[in-house]
Amino acid sequence: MTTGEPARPRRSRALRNEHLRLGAVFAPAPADEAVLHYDRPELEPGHIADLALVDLTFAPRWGIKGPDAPIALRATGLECPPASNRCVSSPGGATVAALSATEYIAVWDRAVPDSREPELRRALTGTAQECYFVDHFEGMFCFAITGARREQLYRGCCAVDLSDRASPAGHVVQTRLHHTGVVILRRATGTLALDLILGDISMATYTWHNLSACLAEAGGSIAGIGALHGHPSGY
Amino acid sequence: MTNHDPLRLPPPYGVLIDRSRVLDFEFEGAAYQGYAGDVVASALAANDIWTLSRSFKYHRPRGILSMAGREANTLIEADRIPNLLADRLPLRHGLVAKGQNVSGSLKADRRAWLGLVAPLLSVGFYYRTFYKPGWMTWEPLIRKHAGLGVVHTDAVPPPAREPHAMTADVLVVGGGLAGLDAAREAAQAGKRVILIDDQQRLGGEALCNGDTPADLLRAAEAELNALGVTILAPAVATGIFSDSLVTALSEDRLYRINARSIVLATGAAEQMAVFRNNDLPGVMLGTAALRLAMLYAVRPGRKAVVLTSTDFGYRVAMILQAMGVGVAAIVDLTGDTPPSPAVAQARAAGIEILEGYGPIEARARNGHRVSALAVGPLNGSRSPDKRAAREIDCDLVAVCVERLPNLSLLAQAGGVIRIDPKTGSIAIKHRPKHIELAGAAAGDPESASGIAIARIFPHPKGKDFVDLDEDLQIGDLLDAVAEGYDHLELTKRYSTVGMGPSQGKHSALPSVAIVAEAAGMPPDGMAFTTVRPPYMPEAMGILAGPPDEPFRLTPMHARHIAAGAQMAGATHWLRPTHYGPPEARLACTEAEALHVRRHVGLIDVSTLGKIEIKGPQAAEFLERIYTGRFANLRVGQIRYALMTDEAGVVIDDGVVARLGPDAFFGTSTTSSVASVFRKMKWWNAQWRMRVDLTNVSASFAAMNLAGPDSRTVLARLCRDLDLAGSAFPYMEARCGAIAGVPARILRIGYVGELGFEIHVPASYGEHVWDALIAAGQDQDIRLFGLDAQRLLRLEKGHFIVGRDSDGISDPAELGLNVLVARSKPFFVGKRSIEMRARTGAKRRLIGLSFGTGRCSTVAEGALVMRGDSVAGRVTSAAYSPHLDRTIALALVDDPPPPEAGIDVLASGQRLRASRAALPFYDPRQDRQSS
Repeated sequence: MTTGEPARPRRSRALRNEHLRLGAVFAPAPADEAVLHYDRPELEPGHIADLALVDLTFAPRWGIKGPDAPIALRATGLECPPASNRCVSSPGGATVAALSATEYIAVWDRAVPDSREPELRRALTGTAQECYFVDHFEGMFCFAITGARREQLYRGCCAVDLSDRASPAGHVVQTRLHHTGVVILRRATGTLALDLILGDISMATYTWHNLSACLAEAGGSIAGIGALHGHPSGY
Repeated sequence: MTNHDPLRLPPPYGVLIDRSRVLDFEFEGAAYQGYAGDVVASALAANDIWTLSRSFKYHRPRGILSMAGREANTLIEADRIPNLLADRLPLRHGLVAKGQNVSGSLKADRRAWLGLVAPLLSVGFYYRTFYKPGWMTWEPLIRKHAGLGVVHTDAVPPPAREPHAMTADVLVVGGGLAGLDAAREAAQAGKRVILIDDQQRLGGEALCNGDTPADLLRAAEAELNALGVTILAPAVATGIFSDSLVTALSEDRLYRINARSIVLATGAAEQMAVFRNNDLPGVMLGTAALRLAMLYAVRPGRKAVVLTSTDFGYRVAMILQAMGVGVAAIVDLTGDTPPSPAVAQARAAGIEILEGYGPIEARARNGHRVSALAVGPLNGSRSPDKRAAREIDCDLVAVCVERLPNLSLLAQAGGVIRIDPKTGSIAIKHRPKHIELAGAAAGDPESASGIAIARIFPHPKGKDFVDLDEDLQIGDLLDAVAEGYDHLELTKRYSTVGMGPSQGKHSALPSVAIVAEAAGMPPDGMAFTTVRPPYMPEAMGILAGPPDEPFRLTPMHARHIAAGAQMAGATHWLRPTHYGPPEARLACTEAEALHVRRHVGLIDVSTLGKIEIKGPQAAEFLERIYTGRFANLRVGQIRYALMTDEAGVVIDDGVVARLGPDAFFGTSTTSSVASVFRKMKWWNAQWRMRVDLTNVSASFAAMNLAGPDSRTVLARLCRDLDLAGSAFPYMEARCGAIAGVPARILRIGYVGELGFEIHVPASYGEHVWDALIAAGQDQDIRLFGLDAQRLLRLEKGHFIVGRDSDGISDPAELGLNVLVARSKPFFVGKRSIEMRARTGAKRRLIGLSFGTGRCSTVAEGALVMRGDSVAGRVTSAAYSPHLDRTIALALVDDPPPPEAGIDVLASGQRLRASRAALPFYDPRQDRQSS
């Protein structure tokens, strides 16, 4: 071999090039998948309160499913949503959504310093036979649409009523944005209106392009996680 | 437009135009000017151009009728896009427009002679005449002579924006006074309100009738904005569908609106009076004349005759006179006009009022435009007496007869509308609960709407048009009834009345009256014909929105682009066909394939479907879902997996690796993974097995390292596995680390060489890809694309589901009986496969060889011949540089024995091939098993 020992494995996503084109500044390693901000960071706090699109694909996320999934989930100490298509956000930084009576998905906010995510992941991986762990980190993108005017963005890409009246915080909507099947988690905590959008990772670039187009028409902006982390909601 | 602009009226006329912005445009090859805010029809009228089109059948000159886009008269071609309504099409700078359905020019249409033979072209003429020798013989000729616009396939369609989905508590359709009131009240009650109006400015008819100050309308609009009402204008509500879905179209966007309740404030439309030559340019509805003047500052004529049966006609006369149009006479069809301020004003102004008169015919002495209206006193049968006829010079006939509420949307929503026999007015027999009516649409008596009186004045010479879109005259409907089509729905089908672009907006009431009288039925016994969406013509491009082809990217997409790959779509995935310039596709493909055979190549196979099957009954599930055996698969072992449907048809293939006692990892074809996974979930639900299924297709980046040197390359990055053939044999799977990344490695050989299919977490795809390329430098590793992979698999005789098989191919046809475990008690498709085996179907997938050298003629789809009969078809074909001959797979009925000659018809050439044994390459499988 001519190249010596391979370099430390480094994650990369197809969307990274899109961010670079948009002038993204990435967080330092090991979180270097995360866009800290784009070229006008001083404007981004305002954007996320109004209408913004944020790439949270770096955020840990996994699911559990099977008949024993609710039991396993409760055993970890995570709060279980009260019904299907509902979600709860725990103080520990996880938003847990019930996609059905036997399938749950959890998205973690890496910004919370005392995140128990790795510990819970280990616990669930070795759980009982009738509960199956699914790693969504590799297979799903995770975007956030934030701000008070989110409904205006959805008009251009979703036929479902995604107004706050129809699906308030704490609701989960399994629908399509353009041609992409997505799960939308309307976060239930914090002062910032924030929807987590999860979809097939191979369609991340396509979906980002479409959402960006809708965002531009609605007068919104893209933003990095720097603005989110600085928000009083404590994201 | 000349400098003095003789047909333009001064402000405050023209509330929609901006006189400071002059726009140049072209119509029928001549240059004109208009103003921003004009529609094409108003700009042409301002330039004294009144003929906009030629009629559908008789090529008669036609002009403005409603000035609201409610008839086909104003259909033109603009910027090579046909069938655009000139009275709704905003004027653009540089626009090039012309009339359509014309032979020659709009002024001198060579096909106008068709009008002279109209008696020969009566209704039903097509059906009676063109059945011999067959309709298809005549159709092209008829289409050439009649019809609407021509589609130019090279025209650039106007841009369309992505359709919008909206929701509201209350949707108000119509921005007139009633609509404004409804929207305000709903918004003040805390409802989320959307208001749709078809004009650029809200106000509806109030913008035109001079009764409502413009400031008041602006204030009303501002109030709605302040209340948070969403205003879509100009946009037309084109349909109401189930679940209260309302579609609306703006110039470039489709809106899909779901509302809890809908208020239809759609106003009322003037009906057309039917008399001879009522289609001449210059004969228009009174509201059209007002729209021209009030909205666009165009004087609708110099001398007018107002034909009326309502007080509104008197008001129109006064407004026309006020703007400088001479009113030669008011022809009052009723003869007993009740006194009103407008009537008194008209009398005081000295306008001649011909009470109890009716129209005999409109005349055009020079050119197309109306130049006179002949009228006569109405006799006892309500016909004008021609003996006492008077001819009144005019260039404008403003028709102001009864109106009908615009209830098309109500009818679409399931409303039932009838004519009330007692009052002669429109009665709504059923109204869906979530729909309310407001203003003239509700039969507001102030607007004299809803009175079902048709004003019909037949003329023995015809040309008394009921439906201008379809060139239908009174006699046509009478003929239809006489021939037995005496119900309106039948008459409609036979005569096509109401089936043109205006959907009967002006012909509905006259049609009912004529058919009812001819059939001897009272009008109240007849309903209107069924109204269907769209309310107005829709452009398909706007319904579709902008081009939007979904695409999926593999984790190594950027690497392919950087390496010069040419990408192609494969079930939404973008995949490299080859690495090199587009024009060198074949050469690159063959070079890549040869390199794999001789050295080592790397291909991105991330698009493969990947499914995890887990649980205590996972093995049993696989036994049922695939044709082969899986219960006896050892951990670490791989088996080819063939899936059939209930009919025994092969629907997918892949491999299944056992990663643990209750954990399997299966692959499927790129195109089928979604349907395969769906079927698996469906069967799992049916069988209620303790099995969990997860589609992890996008979670893993996958790459195939193939070629005799592949082991050497992989060994440099994989330190924790023994890759020797004895330790890691063919059809085995291992979990290890490659370049520090956890990987699933499958020793399989789709391309027929020693190969390793490597699956790593998607986010590490680029890292491992880069590492493999770096590690393979000494072995001259080379990337290969989809084309080379397909060539290599063809050499191995591997079939592709859906390409080398079709919708009836069973395992036997494809030579895959060895993969069918008949001893199993059950698998999906087993019973059908056994039944088909008993019938002895003889179609087979066979190999064909075309001799030494390249034979470029043969390709997929070429026919396999037996004498003069087709015996099958080539499903895959390519020149194999390794074998130096063209090889093919073909599905052939009752194929000849091996080595026998076989004829192939390709591109008109009959070629001789021989049946070859499969695989073409490495029949003993030594290379992939090494």
